[in-house]
Amino acid sequence: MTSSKAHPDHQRIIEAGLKAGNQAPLRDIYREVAPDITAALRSKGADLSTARDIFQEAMIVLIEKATDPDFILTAPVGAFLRGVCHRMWLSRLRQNNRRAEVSLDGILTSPSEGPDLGLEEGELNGRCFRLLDQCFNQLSETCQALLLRLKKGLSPTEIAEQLGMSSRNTFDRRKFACIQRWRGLMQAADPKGICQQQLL
Amino acid sequence: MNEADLQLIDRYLSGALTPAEVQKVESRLSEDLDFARSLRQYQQQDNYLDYRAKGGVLPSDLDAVAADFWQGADAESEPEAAPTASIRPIRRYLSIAAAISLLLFAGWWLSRGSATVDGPSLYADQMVLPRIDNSIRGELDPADSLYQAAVTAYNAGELSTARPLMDRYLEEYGLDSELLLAYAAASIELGAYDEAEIALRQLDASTSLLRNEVPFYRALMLLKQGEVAAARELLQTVTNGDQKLEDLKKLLAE
Repeated sequence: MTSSKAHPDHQRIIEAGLKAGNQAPLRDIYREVAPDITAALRSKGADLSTARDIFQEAMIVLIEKATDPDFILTAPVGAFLRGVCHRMWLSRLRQNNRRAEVSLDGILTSPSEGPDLGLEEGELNGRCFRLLDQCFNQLSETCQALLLRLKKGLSPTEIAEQLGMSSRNTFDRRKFACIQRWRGLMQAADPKGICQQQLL
Repeated sequence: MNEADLQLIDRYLSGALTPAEVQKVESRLSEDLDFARSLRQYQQQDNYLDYRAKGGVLPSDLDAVAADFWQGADAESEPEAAPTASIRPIRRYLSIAAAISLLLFAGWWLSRGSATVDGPSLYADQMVLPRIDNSIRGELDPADSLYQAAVTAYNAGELSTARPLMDRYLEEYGLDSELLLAYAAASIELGAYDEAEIALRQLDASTSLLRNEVPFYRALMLLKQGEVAAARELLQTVTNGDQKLEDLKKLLAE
Protein backbone atom coordinates (compact mmCIF):
# COMPACT_ATOMS: atom_id res chain seq x y z
CA MET A 1 0.00 0.00 0.00
CA THR A 2 1.47 3.35 -1.00
CA SER A 3 -0.46 5.37 1.56
CA SER A 4 -2.47 4.47 4.62
CA LYS A 5 -4.43 7.72 4.69
CA ALA A 6 -8.14 6.99 4.62
CA HIS A 7 -10.21 8.58 1.89
CA PRO A 8 -13.37 10.37 3.12
CA ASP A 9 -15.35 7.50 1.56
CA HIS A 10 -13.82 5.18 4.17
CA GLN A 11 -15.86 6.87 6.87
CA ARG A 12 -18.89 7.27 4.64
CA ILE A 13 -19.02 3.76 3.30
CA ILE A 14 -17.04 1.38 5.45
CA GLU A 15 -17.55 2.75 8.93
CA ALA A 16 -20.91 4.46 8.77
CA GLY A 17 -22.49 2.13 6.29
CA LEU A 18 -21.40 -1.41 5.74
CA LYS A 19 -20.20 -2.23 9.24
CA ALA A 20 -23.40 -0.88 10.72
CA GLY A 21 -25.63 -2.89 8.39
CA ASN A 22 -27.02 0.23 6.79
CA GLN A 23 -28.20 -0.40 3.24
CA ALA A 24 -28.52 3.26 2.26
CA PRO A 25 -24.80 3.62 1.36
CA LEU A 26 -25.13 0.53 -0.81
CA ARG A 27 -27.98 2.00 -2.76
CA ASP A 28 -25.95 5.21 -3.16
CA ILE A 29 -23.03 3.26 -4.58
CA TYR A 30 -25.23 1.50 -7.11
CA ARG A 31 -26.83 4.75 -8.17
CA GLU A 32 -23.54 6.68 -8.36
CA VAL A 33 -21.20 4.23 -10.04
CA ALA A 34 -22.88 1.02 -11.21
CA PRO A 35 -24.23 2.33 -14.55
CA ASP A 36 -20.87 3.86 -15.60
CA ILE A 37 -18.77 0.89 -14.59
CA THR A 38 -21.03 -1.69 -16.20
CA ALA A 39 -21.22 0.45 -19.35
CA ALA A 40 -17.41 0.58 -19.45
CA LEU A 41 -17.23 -3.18 -19.09
CA ARG A 42 -19.74 -3.63 -21.88
CA SER A 43 -17.72 -1.32 -24.12
CA LYS A 44 -14.84 -3.74 -23.62
CA GLY A 45 -16.85 -6.75 -24.71
CA ALA A 46 -18.71 -7.95 -21.63
CA ASP A 47 -22.37 -8.75 -22.17
CA LEU A 48 -24.99 -7.17 -19.92
CA SER A 49 -25.28 -10.11 -17.56
CA THR A 50 -21.49 -10.54 -17.24
CA ALA A 51 -20.98 -6.83 -16.61
CA ARG A 52 -23.56 -6.85 -13.81
CA ASP A 53 -22.16 -10.07 -12.43
CA ILE A 54 -18.65 -8.62 -12.29
CA PHE A 55 -19.91 -5.46 -10.62
CA GLN A 56 -21.75 -7.57 -8.03
CA GLU A 57 -18.63 -9.62 -7.31
CA ALA A 58 -16.69 -6.38 -6.87
CA MET A 59 -19.29 -5.20 -4.35
CA ILE A 60 -18.81 -8.45 -2.44
CA VAL A 61 -15.07 -7.81 -2.40
CA LEU A 62 -15.84 -4.39 -0.91
CA ILE A 63 -18.01 -5.79 1.88
CA GLU A 64 -15.51 -8.58 2.46
CA LYS A 65 -12.84 -5.93 2.96
CA ALA A 66 -15.16 -4.18 5.40
CA THR A 67 -14.91 -7.28 7.63
CA ASP A 68 -11.15 -6.74 7.92
CA PRO A 69 -10.48 -4.32 10.77
CA ASP A 70 -7.14 -3.35 9.20
CA PHE A 71 -8.56 -2.39 5.82
CA ILE A 72 -8.42 1.29 4.92
CA LEU A 73 -10.13 2.62 1.83
CA THR A 74 -7.55 5.00 0.39
CA ALA A 75 -9.36 5.86 -2.85
CA PRO A 76 -12.90 6.99 -3.68
CA VAL A 77 -15.22 4.01 -3.56
CA GLY A 78 -15.98 4.37 -7.29
CA ALA A 79 -12.27 4.14 -8.13
CA PHE A 80 -11.92 1.12 -5.87
CA LEU A 81 -14.79 -0.71 -7.56
CA ARG A 82 -13.60 0.33 -11.02
CA GLY A 83 -10.17 -1.11 -10.22
CA VAL A 84 -11.62 -4.36 -8.89
CA CYS A 85 -13.94 -4.74 -11.89
CA HIS A 86 -11.04 -4.02 -14.19
CA ARG A 87 -8.94 -6.80 -12.67
CA MET A 88 -11.83 -9.23 -12.62
CA TRP A 89 -12.56 -8.58 -16.27
CA LEU A 90 -8.90 -9.11 -17.19
CA SER A 91 -8.94 -12.30 -15.20
CA ARG A 92 -12.00 -13.56 -17.11
CA LEU A 93 -10.39 -12.66 -20.40
CA ARG A 94 -7.31 -14.62 -19.47
CA GLN A 95 -9.48 -17.57 -18.54
CA ASN A 96 -11.21 -17.37 -21.89
CA ASN A 97 -7.93 -16.99 -23.79
CA ARG A 98 -9.26 -13.88 -25.37
CA ARG A 99 -6.66 -11.43 -24.16
CA ALA A 100 -5.11 -10.89 -27.56
CA GLU A 101 -8.42 -10.04 -29.15
CA VAL A 102 -9.37 -7.05 -27.05
CA SER A 103 -8.09 -3.60 -26.45
CA LEU A 104 -7.06 -2.92 -22.88
CA ASP A 105 -7.01 0.84 -23.02
CA GLY A 106 -9.18 3.36 -21.19
CA ILE A 107 -10.30 2.25 -17.77
CA LEU A 108 -9.10 -1.26 -18.46
CA THR A 109 -5.39 -0.56 -18.58
CA SER A 110 -2.70 -2.13 -16.46
CA PRO A 111 -3.65 -3.30 -12.96
CA SER A 112 -0.62 -1.52 -11.61
CA GLU A 113 -2.02 1.81 -12.75
CA GLY A 114 -4.81 3.64 -11.01
CA PRO A 115 -5.47 3.86 -7.28
CA ASP A 116 -4.00 1.52 -4.73
CA LEU A 117 -6.80 -0.88 -3.76
CA GLY A 118 -5.11 -2.37 -0.74
CA LEU A 119 -5.76 -5.79 -2.23
CA GLU A 120 -3.64 -8.76 -3.11
CA GLU A 121 -4.43 -10.53 -6.39
CA GLY A 122 -5.74 -13.55 -4.50
CA GLU A 123 -8.31 -11.46 -2.68
CA LEU A 124 -10.13 -10.56 -5.86
CA ASN A 125 -12.77 -13.18 -5.45
CA GLY A 126 -15.97 -12.25 -3.70
CA ARG A 127 -17.21 -15.81 -4.04
CA CYS A 128 -15.19 -16.93 -1.02
CA PHE A 129 -16.88 -14.42 1.26
CA ARG A 130 -20.23 -15.48 -0.12
CA LEU A 131 -19.29 -19.08 0.59
CA LEU A 132 -18.31 -18.22 4.17
CA ASP A 133 -21.71 -16.56 4.60
CA GLN A 134 -23.73 -19.31 2.91
CA CYS A 135 -22.06 -22.05 4.93
CA PHE A 136 -22.54 -20.14 8.19
CA ASN A 137 -26.24 -19.90 7.37
CA GLN A 138 -26.36 -23.69 7.01
CA LEU A 139 -25.27 -24.19 10.62
CA SER A 140 -27.96 -24.95 13.16
CA GLU A 141 -29.57 -22.08 15.05
CA THR A 142 -27.75 -23.20 18.18
CA CYS A 143 -24.36 -23.07 16.48
CA GLN A 144 -25.07 -19.66 14.96
CA ALA A 145 -26.31 -18.32 18.29
CA LEU A 146 -23.32 -19.70 20.18
CA LEU A 147 -20.73 -18.22 17.84
CA LEU A 148 -22.45 -14.85 17.47
CA ARG A 149 -23.17 -14.42 21.18
CA LEU A 150 -19.56 -15.16 21.95
CA LYS A 151 -18.58 -12.45 19.48
CA LYS A 152 -21.03 -10.05 21.07
CA GLY A 153 -19.08 -10.40 24.31
CA LEU A 154 -21.24 -12.77 26.34
CA SER A 155 -19.27 -15.08 28.59
CA PRO A 156 -19.13 -18.81 27.84
CA THR A 157 -20.97 -19.50 31.09
CA GLU A 158 -23.81 -17.14 30.17
CA ILE A 159 -24.11 -18.63 26.70
CA ALA A 160 -24.01 -22.19 28.04
CA GLU A 161 -26.89 -21.31 30.38
CA GLN A 162 -28.91 -19.58 27.67
CA LEU A 163 -28.49 -22.47 25.24
CA GLY A 164 -29.15 -25.17 27.81
CA MET A 165 -25.65 -26.64 27.93
CA SER A 166 -24.79 -28.45 31.09
CA SER A 167 -21.22 -27.27 31.59
CA ARG A 168 -18.39 -25.10 30.35
CA ASN A 169 -16.85 -28.27 29.02
CA THR A 170 -19.88 -28.94 26.84
CA PHE A 171 -19.74 -25.34 25.64
CA ASP A 172 -16.09 -25.65 24.56
CA ARG A 173 -16.72 -28.94 22.82
CA ARG A 174 -19.74 -27.55 21.02
CA LYS A 175 -17.94 -24.38 20.02
CA PHE A 176 -15.13 -26.22 18.28
CA ALA A 177 -17.54 -28.73 16.74
CA CYS A 178 -19.51 -25.79 15.28
CA ILE A 179 -16.35 -24.24 13.85
CA GLN A 180 -15.28 -27.60 12.42
CA ARG A 181 -18.72 -28.12 10.91
CA TRP A 182 -18.53 -24.67 9.31
CA ARG A 183 -15.12 -25.50 7.85
CA GLY A 184 -16.42 -28.89 6.69
CA LEU A 185 -19.31 -27.28 4.87
CA MET A 186 -16.92 -24.85 3.19
CA GLN A 187 -14.65 -27.70 2.18
CA ALA A 188 -17.61 -29.62 0.77
CA ALA A 189 -18.79 -26.59 -1.19
CA ASP A 190 -15.29 -25.82 -2.44
CA PRO A 191 -13.82 -29.29 -3.07
CA LYS A 192 -10.93 -27.93 -5.14
CA GLY A 193 -9.93 -25.69 -2.25
CA ILE A 194 -9.88 -22.52 -4.36
CA CYS A 195 -10.70 -20.33 -1.37
CA GLN A 196 -8.11 -22.21 0.72
CA GLN A 197 -5.46 -21.64 -1.92
CA GLN A 198 -6.03 -17.93 -2.00
CA LEU A 199 -5.50 -17.61 1.72
CA LEU A 200 -1.74 -17.65 1.42
CA MET B 1 -7.37 -30.01 11.06
CA ASN B 2 -8.01 -31.67 14.38
CA GLU B 3 -9.67 -30.09 17.38
CA ALA B 4 -6.40 -29.79 19.31
CA ASP B 5 -4.89 -27.67 16.53
CA LEU B 6 -8.03 -25.58 16.33
CA GLN B 7 -7.88 -24.95 20.07
CA LEU B 8 -4.21 -24.07 19.76
CA ILE B 9 -5.00 -21.53 17.02
CA ASP B 10 -7.83 -20.10 19.11
CA ARG B 11 -5.57 -19.66 22.11
CA TYR B 12 -2.77 -18.24 19.95
CA LEU B 13 -5.03 -15.60 18.39
CA SER B 14 -6.61 -14.67 21.70
CA GLY B 15 -3.17 -14.23 23.33
CA ALA B 16 -3.68 -17.03 25.82
CA LEU B 17 -0.41 -18.87 25.13
CA THR B 18 2.84 -18.57 27.06
CA PRO B 19 5.84 -16.99 25.24
CA ALA B 20 7.37 -20.44 24.77
CA GLU B 21 4.12 -21.77 23.25
CA VAL B 22 3.88 -18.73 20.99
CA GLN B 23 7.38 -19.37 19.72
CA LYS B 24 6.48 -22.99 19.02
CA VAL B 25 3.34 -22.00 17.08
CA GLU B 26 5.23 -19.40 15.05
CA SER B 27 7.93 -21.84 14.19
CA ARG B 28 5.29 -24.33 13.02
CA LEU B 29 3.56 -21.62 10.97
CA SER B 30 6.71 -21.11 8.93
CA GLU B 31 7.07 -24.83 8.22
CA ASP B 32 3.55 -26.23 7.98
CA LEU B 33 1.54 -24.74 5.11
CA ASP B 34 -1.72 -26.49 6.10
CA PHE B 35 -1.43 -25.19 9.63
CA ALA B 36 -0.76 -21.67 8.34
CA ARG B 37 -3.79 -21.88 6.02
CA SER B 38 -5.95 -23.12 8.86
CA LEU B 39 -4.89 -20.17 10.98
CA ARG B 40 -5.71 -17.74 8.18
CA GLN B 41 -9.08 -19.40 7.63
CA TYR B 42 -9.80 -19.22 11.35
CA GLN B 43 -8.99 -15.49 11.24
CA GLN B 44 -11.38 -15.08 8.33
CA GLN B 45 -14.13 -16.90 10.21
CA ASP B 46 -13.40 -14.72 13.21
CA ASN B 47 -13.50 -11.49 11.15
CA TYR B 48 -16.76 -12.62 9.56
CA LEU B 49 -18.32 -13.30 12.98
CA ASP B 50 -17.11 -9.98 14.28
CA TYR B 51 -18.59 -8.16 11.29
CA ARG B 52 -21.84 -10.10 11.45
CA ALA B 53 -22.16 -9.60 15.20
CA LYS B 54 -21.99 -5.85 14.54
CA GLY B 55 -24.83 -6.21 12.04
CA GLY B 56 -22.68 -5.65 8.93
CA VAL B 57 -24.11 -5.86 5.43
CA LEU B 58 -24.07 -9.43 4.09
CA PRO B 59 -24.00 -10.85 0.54
CA SER B 60 -27.72 -11.64 0.70
CA ASP B 61 -28.44 -7.96 1.54
CA LEU B 62 -26.29 -6.96 -1.38
CA ASP B 63 -28.14 -9.27 -3.77
CA ALA B 64 -31.44 -7.75 -2.72
CA VAL B 65 -30.16 -4.19 -3.27
CA ALA B 66 -28.72 -5.17 -6.69
CA ALA B 67 -31.94 -6.86 -7.81
CA ASP B 68 -33.91 -3.80 -6.76
CA PHE B 69 -31.53 -1.38 -8.46
CA TRP B 70 -31.27 -3.21 -11.78
CA GLN B 71 -35.01 -3.80 -11.88
CA GLY B 72 -35.53 -0.04 -11.56
CA ALA B 73 -32.85 0.67 -14.18
CA ASP B 74 -34.38 -1.83 -16.61
CA ALA B 75 -37.86 -0.41 -16.08
CA GLU B 76 -36.58 3.05 -16.98
CA SER B 77 -35.11 1.78 -20.25
CA GLU B 78 -38.16 -0.37 -21.10
CA PRO B 79 -39.62 1.92 -23.80
CA GLU B 80 -36.69 0.90 -26.01
CA ALA B 81 -37.88 -2.68 -25.79
CA ALA B 82 -41.46 -1.84 -26.76
CA PRO B 83 -41.24 -2.84 -30.47
CA THR B 84 -41.01 -6.53 -29.51
CA ALA B 85 -44.65 -6.30 -28.40
CA SER B 86 -45.73 -5.66 -31.97
CA ILE B 87 -44.65 -9.07 -33.31
CA ARG B 88 -47.52 -10.29 -35.45
CA PRO B 89 -49.56 -13.11 -33.88
CA ILE B 90 -48.75 -15.58 -36.66
CA ARG B 91 -45.03 -15.17 -36.00
CA ARG B 92 -45.64 -15.67 -32.29
CA TYR B 93 -47.55 -18.91 -32.93
CA LEU B 94 -44.75 -20.11 -35.17
CA SER B 95 -42.23 -19.34 -32.43
CA ILE B 96 -44.31 -21.25 -29.88
CA ALA B 97 -44.67 -24.21 -32.24
CA ALA B 98 -40.92 -24.21 -32.87
CA ALA B 99 -40.23 -24.11 -29.13
CA ILE B 100 -42.61 -27.02 -28.50
CA SER B 101 -40.96 -29.06 -31.28
CA LEU B 102 -37.57 -28.32 -29.78
CA LEU B 103 -38.73 -29.42 -26.33
CA LEU B 104 -40.20 -32.63 -27.71
CA PHE B 105 -36.99 -33.34 -29.56
CA ALA B 106 -34.91 -32.62 -26.45
CA GLY B 107 -37.15 -34.92 -24.41
CA TRP B 108 -36.75 -37.70 -26.97
CA TRP B 109 -32.99 -37.13 -27.13
CA LEU B 110 -32.52 -37.26 -23.37
CA SER B 111 -34.71 -40.31 -22.88
CA ARG B 112 -33.52 -42.31 -25.86
CA GLY B 113 -32.17 -45.69 -24.85
CA SER B 114 -33.69 -45.43 -21.41
CA ALA B 115 -37.22 -46.34 -22.41
CA THR B 116 -36.92 -49.65 -20.55
CA VAL B 117 -35.48 -48.12 -17.37
CA ASP B 118 -37.83 -46.62 -14.85
CA GLY B 119 -35.70 -44.52 -12.48
CA PRO B 120 -37.85 -44.69 -9.32
CA SER B 121 -38.41 -48.45 -9.75
CA LEU B 122 -34.71 -49.13 -10.24
CA TYR B 123 -34.01 -46.92 -7.21
CA ALA B 124 -36.44 -48.97 -5.12
CA ASP B 125 -34.72 -52.20 -6.23
CA GLN B 126 -31.19 -51.00 -5.67
CA MET B 127 -31.37 -48.71 -2.65
CA VAL B 128 -29.47 -50.21 0.25
CA LEU B 129 -29.44 -48.31 3.50
CA PRO B 130 -25.91 -48.90 4.83
CA ARG B 131 -26.27 -50.64 8.19
CA ILE B 132 -24.28 -49.34 11.14
CA ASP B 133 -22.87 -51.71 13.72
CA ASN B 134 -23.02 -49.86 17.04
CA SER B 135 -22.30 -52.82 19.29
CA ILE B 136 -18.74 -51.70 19.99
CA ARG B 137 -19.78 -48.36 21.44
CA GLY B 138 -20.79 -48.01 25.06
CA GLU B 139 -22.88 -45.32 26.70
CA LEU B 140 -20.02 -43.56 28.36
CA ASP B 141 -20.87 -39.95 27.68
CA PRO B 142 -23.57 -37.82 26.05
CA ALA B 143 -21.92 -38.22 22.65
CA ASP B 144 -22.30 -41.98 22.81
CA SER B 145 -25.89 -41.91 24.00
CA LEU B 146 -26.82 -39.50 21.19
CA TYR B 147 -25.01 -41.76 18.72
CA GLN B 148 -26.80 -44.83 20.08
CA ALA B 149 -30.20 -43.15 19.83
CA ALA B 150 -29.53 -42.05 16.24
CA VAL B 151 -28.21 -45.41 15.10
CA THR B 152 -30.86 -47.46 16.87
CA ALA B 153 -33.61 -45.46 15.17
CA TYR B 154 -31.79 -45.65 11.83
CA ASN B 155 -31.20 -49.40 11.96
CA ALA B 156 -34.86 -49.88 12.87
CA GLY B 157 -35.82 -48.01 9.71
CA GLU B 158 -37.25 -45.04 11.64
CA LEU B 159 -35.56 -42.59 9.35
CA SER B 160 -37.63 -39.53 10.22
CA THR B 161 -36.63 -39.98 13.87
CA ALA B 162 -33.04 -40.88 13.07
CA ARG B 163 -32.21 -38.03 10.70
CA PRO B 164 -32.42 -35.10 13.13
CA LEU B 165 -30.47 -37.10 15.74
CA MET B 166 -27.78 -37.93 13.21
CA ASP B 167 -27.65 -34.30 12.10
CA ARG B 168 -27.23 -33.18 15.72
CA TYR B 169 -24.51 -35.72 16.37
CA LEU B 170 -22.58 -34.76 13.22
CA GLU B 171 -22.82 -31.11 14.11
CA GLU B 172 -21.89 -31.48 17.76
CA TYR B 173 -19.23 -34.14 17.53
CA GLY B 174 -17.73 -33.72 14.10
CA LEU B 175 -17.22 -35.94 11.11
CA ASP B 176 -18.12 -39.61 11.43
CA SER B 177 -17.99 -40.94 7.89
CA GLU B 178 -20.11 -44.02 8.55
CA LEU B 179 -22.85 -41.92 10.09
CA LEU B 180 -22.51 -39.28 7.37
CA LEU B 181 -23.09 -41.87 4.64
CA ALA B 182 -26.09 -43.26 6.52
CA TYR B 183 -27.39 -39.70 6.92
CA ALA B 184 -27.04 -39.12 3.17
CA ALA B 185 -28.85 -42.37 2.38
CA ALA B 186 -31.65 -41.57 4.84
CA SER B 187 -31.98 -38.08 3.34
CA ILE B 188 -32.30 -39.54 -0.16
CA GLU B 189 -34.90 -42.01 1.05
CA LEU B 190 -36.90 -39.16 2.62
CA GLY B 191 -36.53 -36.92 -0.44
CA ALA B 192 -34.29 -34.35 1.30
CA TYR B 193 -32.02 -34.10 -1.72
CA ASP B 194 -30.21 -30.85 -0.86
CA GLU B 195 -29.16 -32.20 2.53
CA ALA B 196 -28.15 -35.50 0.95
CA GLU B 197 -25.98 -33.70 -1.59
CA ILE B 198 -24.26 -31.63 1.11
CA ALA B 199 -23.51 -34.79 3.12
CA LEU B 200 -22.21 -36.61 0.03
CA ARG B 201 -19.94 -33.69 -0.81
CA GLN B 202 -18.58 -33.66 2.73
CA LEU B 203 -17.89 -37.36 2.52
CA ASP B 204 -16.33 -36.98 -0.92
CA ALA B 205 -13.99 -34.31 0.44
CA SER B 206 -12.91 -36.51 3.36
CA THR B 207 -10.12 -39.08 3.40
CA SER B 208 -12.49 -41.90 4.39
CA LEU B 209 -12.61 -45.02 2.22
CA LEU B 210 -16.39 -44.66 2.30
CA ARG B 211 -16.07 -41.80 -0.18
CA ASN B 212 -15.98 -44.54 -2.85
CA GLU B 213 -19.67 -45.04 -2.09
CA VAL B 214 -20.54 -41.46 -3.02
CA PRO B 215 -21.13 -42.00 -6.79
CA PHE B 216 -23.45 -44.96 -6.11
CA TYR B 217 -25.68 -42.96 -3.77
CA ARG B 218 -25.53 -39.89 -5.98
CA ALA B 219 -26.71 -42.03 -8.93
CA LEU B 220 -29.50 -43.49 -6.80
CA MET B 221 -30.58 -39.99 -5.85
CA LEU B 222 -30.86 -39.12 -9.55
CA LEU B 223 -32.78 -42.31 -10.31
CA LYS B 224 -35.26 -41.61 -7.54
CA GLN B 225 -35.98 -38.29 -9.21
CA GLY B 226 -36.41 -40.01 -12.59
CA GLU B 227 -33.18 -38.64 -14.05
CA VAL B 228 -32.05 -41.86 -15.68
CA ALA B 229 -29.85 -40.30 -18.37
CA ALA B 230 -28.02 -38.16 -15.80
CA ALA B 231 -27.43 -41.20 -13.56
CA ARG B 232 -26.07 -43.19 -16.49
CA GLU B 233 -23.80 -40.33 -17.50
CA LEU B 234 -22.52 -39.96 -13.95
CA LEU B 235 -21.65 -43.64 -13.61
CA GLN B 236 -19.90 -43.80 -16.98
CA THR B 237 -17.12 -41.63 -15.61
CA VAL B 238 -16.54 -43.61 -12.39
CA THR B 239 -14.60 -46.80 -11.74
CA ASN B 240 -13.59 -47.41 -8.16
CA GLY B 241 -14.04 -51.14 -7.61
CA ASP B 242 -17.35 -50.78 -5.78
CA GLN B 243 -19.41 -53.85 -6.77
CA LYS B 244 -22.78 -52.17 -6.16
CA LEU B 245 -21.74 -49.41 -8.51
CA GLU B 246 -20.67 -51.85 -11.24
CA ASP B 247 -23.98 -53.74 -10.93
CA LEU B 248 -25.93 -50.52 -11.22
CA LYS B 249 -23.91 -49.54 -14.29
CA LYS B 250 -24.85 -52.84 -15.96
CA LEU B 251 -28.52 -52.38 -15.14
CA LEU B 252 -28.48 -48.91 -16.61
CA ALA B 253 -26.69 -50.10 -19.72
CA GLU B 254 -29.35 -52.73 -20.46
